[in-house]
Parts: sequence; C-alpha cells; structure tokens
Amino acid sequence: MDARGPATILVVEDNEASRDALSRRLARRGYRVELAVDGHEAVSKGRSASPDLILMDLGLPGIDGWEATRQLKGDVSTAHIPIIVLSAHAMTSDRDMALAAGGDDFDTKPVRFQQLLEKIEALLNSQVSSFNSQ
Amino acid sequence: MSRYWFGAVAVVWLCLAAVGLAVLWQYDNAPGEAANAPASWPSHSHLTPAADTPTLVMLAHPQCTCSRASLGELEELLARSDVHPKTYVVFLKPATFGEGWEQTDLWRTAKRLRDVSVVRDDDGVEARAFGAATSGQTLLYDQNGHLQFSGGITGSRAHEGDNAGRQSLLALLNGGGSARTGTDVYGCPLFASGS
Amino acid sequence: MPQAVPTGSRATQLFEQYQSDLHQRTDRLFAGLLVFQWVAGILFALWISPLAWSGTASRTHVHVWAAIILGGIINLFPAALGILRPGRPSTRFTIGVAQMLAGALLIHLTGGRIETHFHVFGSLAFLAFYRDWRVLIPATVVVALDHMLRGLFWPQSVYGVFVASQWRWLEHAAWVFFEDVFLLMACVRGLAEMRQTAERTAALEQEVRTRQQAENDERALASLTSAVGLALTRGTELRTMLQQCTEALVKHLDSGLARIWTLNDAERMLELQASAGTHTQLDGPQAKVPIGVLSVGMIALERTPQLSPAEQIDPHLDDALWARREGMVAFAGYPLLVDSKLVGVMTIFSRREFSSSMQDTMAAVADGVAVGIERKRAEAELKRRAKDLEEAHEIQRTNAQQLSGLVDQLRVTQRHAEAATRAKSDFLASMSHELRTPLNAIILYSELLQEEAADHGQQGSITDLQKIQSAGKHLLELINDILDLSKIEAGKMSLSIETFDVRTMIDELLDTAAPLVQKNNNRLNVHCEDTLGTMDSDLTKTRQILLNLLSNAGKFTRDGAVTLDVRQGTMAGRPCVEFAVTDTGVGMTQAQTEKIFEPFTQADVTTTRKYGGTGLGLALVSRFCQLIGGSVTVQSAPGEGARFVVRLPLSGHESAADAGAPARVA
Repeated sequence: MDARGPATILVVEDNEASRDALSRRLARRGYRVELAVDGHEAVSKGRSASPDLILMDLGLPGIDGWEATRQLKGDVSTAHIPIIVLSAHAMTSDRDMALAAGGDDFDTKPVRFQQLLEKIEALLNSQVSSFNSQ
Repeated sequence: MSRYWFGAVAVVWLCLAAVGLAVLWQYDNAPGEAANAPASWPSHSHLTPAADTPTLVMLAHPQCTCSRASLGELEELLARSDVHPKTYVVFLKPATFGEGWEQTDLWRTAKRLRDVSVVRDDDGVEARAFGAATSGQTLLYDQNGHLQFSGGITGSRAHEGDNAGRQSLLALLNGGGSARTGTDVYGCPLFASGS
Repeated sequence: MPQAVPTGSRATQLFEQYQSDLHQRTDRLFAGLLVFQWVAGILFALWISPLAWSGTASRTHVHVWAAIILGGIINLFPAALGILRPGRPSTRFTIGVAQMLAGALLIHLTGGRIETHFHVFGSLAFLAFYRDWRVLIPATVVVALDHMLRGLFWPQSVYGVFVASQWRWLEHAAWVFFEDVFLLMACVRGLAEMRQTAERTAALEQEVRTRQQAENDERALASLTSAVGLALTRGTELRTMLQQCTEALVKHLDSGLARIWTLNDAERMLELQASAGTHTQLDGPQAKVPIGVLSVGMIALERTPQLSPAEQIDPHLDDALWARREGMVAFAGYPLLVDSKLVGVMTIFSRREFSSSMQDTMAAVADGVAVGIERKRAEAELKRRAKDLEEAHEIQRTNAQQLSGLVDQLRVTQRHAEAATRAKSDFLASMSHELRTPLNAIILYSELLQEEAADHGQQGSITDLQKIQSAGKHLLELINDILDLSKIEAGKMSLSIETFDVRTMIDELLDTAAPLVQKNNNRLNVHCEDTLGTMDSDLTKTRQILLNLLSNAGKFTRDGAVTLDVRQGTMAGRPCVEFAVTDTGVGMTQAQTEKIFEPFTQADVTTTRKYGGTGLGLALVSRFCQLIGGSVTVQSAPGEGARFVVRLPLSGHESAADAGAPARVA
C-alpha cells in the first residue's frame, strides 16, 4: 500500500457469481474494488475510476476482452494501468494474444486465488517502484 | 492293190534286166570269125619269123577296144612264158584312113611291150596273109614255121582274165604240149563284112 | 492325264522307228548311188569302148547302148523306188538285187577288170547299211546266179577251163560268204545297239515324262498350298474359307470330290461345312455324321489319316458304287487336329492315285485347315469375350462412377466430419469457458465462505465448505482432463517448446506433488542425476505428466514409498531424460496394465470409489508423451507396486500424427 491509500482494482467480469465472489474476496484482502460487466464499461470505468489494476475477463459481451485491453492500452490516460487478463481457455495462443494485445499478465479460470494475489501484488509493486522513481 | 501292181512291175523289170544282161553277155561271148591261118609261115608276109624261137603274131584292129584285153593277155602271156617268142603285133591300117590313124592307145600299149615289134599293116596285107578276120587273132609258129596255135587269148569280148587261149599258148611255149590249138577269138572284125 | 506307256512297247516303237528311218535314209542313199552308177556306166562305156569297128566301119559300141539302156533299166527303177517308196521292204530288196546286177553290168562294161570286182564287195557292205540281213540274201543270190548262169551258158567266159571253174567259183563264193558273215554280224549287232538305244531312249522318255509329271504335280501342289494358304489367311467367314479350300483341292489335285466337316463337340457330331467337286450341296445324307459312323466318323474316332483305294471304304454303303461310277480311284481322309484336339475331318476322292508328295501336301493342308478352323473358333470366342469384356467394362465404368459418387459423398461426409470436428473443438473451446465459469464461482464462493466462516469461528461450516471446495476441485480436474483429452483427439493440442532446467522444474513440481504423495503417509524420495542440465520440451505438459504419475503413485500406495528417479538415457538412439516413478503400492495384474492407458479405465471399476481419481490421468500421460515424442512404460505385479518410466527426448518435437494412439506396455 502506498501513500494514496488502498489500491483500486477494476474487476471486469460478465458472470455475476464470479464477479461477486471475486470482488468480495479481494475486498476482504483490503482492496477497493470497481466492477464492470462488459468491455464497454471496462473502458469507460477504466478512464473514469483510474484503477491501479484491471482484472480483465476475456469472454465479454459487446467488445471482448482483447479489444477492451487494446483500447485501454491505446488510451494515454489508461495506458499505464496494468491489466491481468483472465480466461477460461488455457491455450497458449490465448496467452500470447492477450499479452500481444497489451496485457501485462495472464491467468486461467477458475482462478487460484493465492496465485492471482501474488500476481496482483507483483504488478502493483512494480508500479509503485516505477512511480516512485518518477 | 498297189502291192500287186508293184509285184507285177518288179517282175517285169527283173525280166527286162535279165534279158538285157543275157543279150549283152551273148554279144560279148559271141566269138568273132575264126582265122583261116596257114599251117606254115606265109611267105608273102613281110614279117620275118625267128629261127631259134617260136614266133607269135597278133593281129589287131587299132580301134578295137576289145583288143585291149587281148593285149593285156599278151603281156601277161609274155611275162609268164619261160621262152620269149619273137612277137609281132600287127595293126591293120586301111588305106582309106590317113596317116597316124593306127596310132591309137592300143598301138602305144603294144609299143610299150618288151621285145615286141609293132607293125603297121597297110591295107590288111598281113592280116590276109595270115588269114585273120578278127581283131585279137593270135598265131603261134614254132622255130620251123609250123603253126602251133591259132585263136583268141581272151575269155570273152574285152574280157581279161584267165582263159583257155593263154593257157594253151603258155603250155606250148614252155615246152609242153597243149591239147587245145585253137580258141575262139573275141574282137571286132578286121574287115568289114563282105570285104 | 495320259497314262504311262510301258517301256517295252515304247522301246519297240522307237526301235521300229529307227529302223524305218535307217531304211529310208539308206534307200535314198542307194537311189543316188544307183543313178551315179548308171551315169558312171555310160561314161565308162563312152570312154573305154565308144566305138565298135568292123574293118573300116564304126558304129556306136554295143556297150554304150547297154550302159544307157540296160544300165538305165537296172539302176533307175530301184532308184525311183528309193525316192517314191522309201522304207518298204520291197524297195530295199529290189535295190539289193539291182545293185548286184548293176555291178555285174559294170564289171562287164569295164571288161572284167579286177578292180571292178571290188564293186561287189562294196555293194554288199553298202547293203548292210540297211541293217537288214535279209537284203543280203537276194544280193548274194544274184551274184551266185550270175556266176552260175554264165558258167552254164558261156563257160569260157568264166575263167577259161570249165573244170577248174568250179573251184574258182567256190573260191569267189567263199569270199562273198566271208563278207556276208561279217555283214550279218554287223547287222545283228547294229540292230541290237539300235534296240538298246531305243530302250534307253524309251526309258529316258519315261523318266522325263515321270519327272515332268512330278514337276507338274509339284507345281499343282505348290498352287494348292498357296491357294489354301490364301484362303486360310484371308478367310472371312468359316464356311467361305473352307469352301475355298475344298475348291482348291479339287482344282489343283484334280480330285473328284473334297469335303470338310467341323466337329460339334457338344453333340459329338461332324457337320459338313464345305463340299466341292462332283457334289457341292451341303444338305445331303452326310450333312451331319456322328462320330464313329461311316468312314468320316471312323476317322474322327480313331484320329488317324486313312488312305485307301476308293472301293474299300464303306462297302456296306452306296459310296463304293458311286466311287466306281464316277471313276474314283483313291480316297484320302484326314482328321483335322490342333494340338491333338479334333476339330473336324477332311476327305478327298480322286480319279488318280495319290503320290507320296501329294499325300504330304494334303496332310499339310489338313493341318492348315485345322488351324484355320480353330482360329475361326478362337476368333468367335474372342469376339464373345470381347463383348463380355465390354459389358464388364460398362459395369466397371458404372461402378467407377458410383465409386466416384461415393467418394464425393465421402468427401462431403469428411468435410462434414471436419466441420464437426471443428465444431467440436470450437464447442470445446466455448464449452471450456462455459464449464469453467460456474466452477470458478463455486470454488471462489466456497473459499470466500471458508474465510468468512473462519473469521466467525464457524468450524462446522468450514468442514462442509471444504467438502464443497474439494468436490469442485475434483470436478475442475475432471473437466480439465476431459477438455485436454478432447483437444488431443481433435488434434488441437499444441506444444510450446521452451528450454528449461530439469532440476528446477522438479523442485518446483515437488511443491505441488509432495503433499499429494505424503497424504497417505508415504515417503517421497527423489533422485536426480547430477549431469542433468536443460531440456527443450513443453514445460507445462512435462510437469503435468510427472504430476499425474506422482499423484497416482501416492493414491495407490499407503504407508509406503514413492520414488522419483531422473537420469539421462537414450531412446531410439537419441538422448533423452528418463523419469521413473516407482511405488510400493497395490500393484496391477498383467491384464490391468494393458488397459490403464485407455481413458476412463482404472484397474477396475472399484478403484475409483476406493482410490478416487478421474481415470484420465494416465491416458493424458500417454498422449502427452506421444505429442512430445516420448514414451511411457509400466511394470507391475499385484502386491508389488508399480514402476512407470517416462522417456522424453532432450529436444522435444511434435508428433501430432500419433495423437490418439495408445502407449506401450513394458
């Protein structure tokens, strides 16, 4: 945690149960959680809420996760936000595609929560160090 | 038909031939007139008889072809004879003919004979002396002038070859005798008939 | 064709001809000689004694007339005969007589010259030219008569002394007789030679005739052979061809009747196909002849050629009478054989005998005709087969069309299958998402609730929630395995080759694997070779393989030991890494080991209940091994545990073609 207070994580997930369970578990860990249900909302909330990290589910209605990731990374105001792409597909091609689209990390669903947490912390800390170095 | 015809012709022919030959032979075997030879040497003959040998006289017609045979026989005779008689061959020459008429091949043949005197008999004087009538008449007188033989020395007219006349003469000349003292004379008549 | 004339009578014929020629020649010779003699006689007479003298008168000598007339008579009549009727016996006998008469005349005309007497001997020799000794008889008689008659009528003309003439005459007769004897011998010998020549000539003529005949025969045979050959090669239709053959036989062999039958094997009947010569109709009494009946049938039965005089065949039938009526002299019948198979019979009746060369030619013709018939049959057969073949081709074409239709259908089906597979993999792709999403929620919620329960100290709930979580994780495992297997089946499983350190991979793996093994109070031993370095392979799959094996080892072993040995080895000559997982668990039977790599097959149906697991672990292990290009083997015995050995190449590669093939059992 930095001086600005607890990190904000934007959870983009169209499945309600998953979204709810994940966000509540994150909240218990002390994160502030923002929610988006589709790609469109992901992009807009990404701009408006300025989260510190985005968990992007790939299988989204409307604009899918790839596109949303690209847009966010393409937008200068949101390009700095680390994005962890989540997918139910464990195929390597998905991983590459996600990373090629600009995702900083990739994880599979169902999530292994501990592993996910470690990834989140790793990205946030690097963010902080880079921020601190500015 | 032709066979019989031929046969007839053949027979006729044969007869003709036979007859012809018979006639010819008859002619050739017809002796001439015999000589009426004097028994001793005629005195009015110009010929001289030999005193030591017999004398032989042949009288011939120089043109008589038959007498060729006679001459041939004479030659033969003289060749075979042991004794060579004094031989006269007298050729008649009728006065009507010219000189040399008698010089025929006969004359020449006679001339060629060895030791033979060939005499021309003008007008047949000698012939008449010896009484010869036919060419080829041959007479043999002994040494004494006696007639020993008078006849021809050919077998038939103009026919050479062995004959009785020659045989007889040979016998006489060679010292033997001969039963035959005369033969037929075959030759041309010395004188025309009637002369 | 003229019959051969017997040499004897021909020789006689020739002999007589020679004689006749000789007689005629000699007649003509004598005609000339007689004329010459006449003329000679006249000339002689003219030369020797042209004139007969009588004193001073001369006239033509009788001899001249005799030479002309008598000479004419004697010489010219026979001369005419010699010209007009030469060769007749009468002519030469007349000449014989005349010649001696002429001689007599000549002798006479020449005055009996010795030399002229030679005419007698010469004449007799000339008369011997006739080679007819009988001619010498009248001639000799004439000479004798001449001597006799002259001796009779003109004895002095005959050598003087009559007595001696008898001996002389005998001497002359002896000389003439002497010559006659030799002339007789000459005549006889001459005739004998002539006869010999005649015989030889006759024989020669015969030979030439025979040779000519043979040549003609050969020519005829050659023509026959070529005609038959032409018919057989040109042969349009069977009957036409055979008819041409029979006509050639009739024409060139001068045969009276030639016929050819073909064999109808089914009915054992000979059917008349061609007939030439005296009969040409094919529907007579011999149109169909059963085998063994008549001479034709007998030839077919016995399969040997028959050559005989015409009367000897079928004496009980009309044929013999017919043969005699038509003047048939010889019969020849040949069976038509091709490779000792009977195809027909050929018969020939002829009006003259068959020479041996004719027989040879006919046998050759029979062979040729047999081949021709067979060829026709083969052609018919071929046509039929071709038609069958054509039909078969038709069928085949139809089948091929159908086949191509089926192939097209198959392609369509295949495309459908591919589409289905694609759909399936797409389905899988989407299904994995669909399946995992609810699971995700279950697991997350159950974990969340566990955390909240732990916060509130609700221990009982925690246990229940753990059960839920466990069930969910099991479900997840199952889903993952199924999806992986399905991906491999669909050929959609891809490899991601990377270089990783083996030891490091093992260490990281043990973090997850150790608890699974130690769960059943098992000891986990790990031995790694020091020389192990890095390997190029799919890291995820390698880990999964080892994890599955270790998890299984732990599941099926209780209070035992699970050992992992990792070392370098070779596989098919290439370097590999060997991972051996050995346990001291329950083990398996031989039968069980053969089945375990198949999906959903555990050792037996009770195993799942007792030991848990999905039954897919080893199936995935084996398929993953194949994909990477490695192998997995198992050794086990009941109660003695199990040993699984996985060999992975040091440089892994994809062998997607093998996806789905079962693993080997050691």
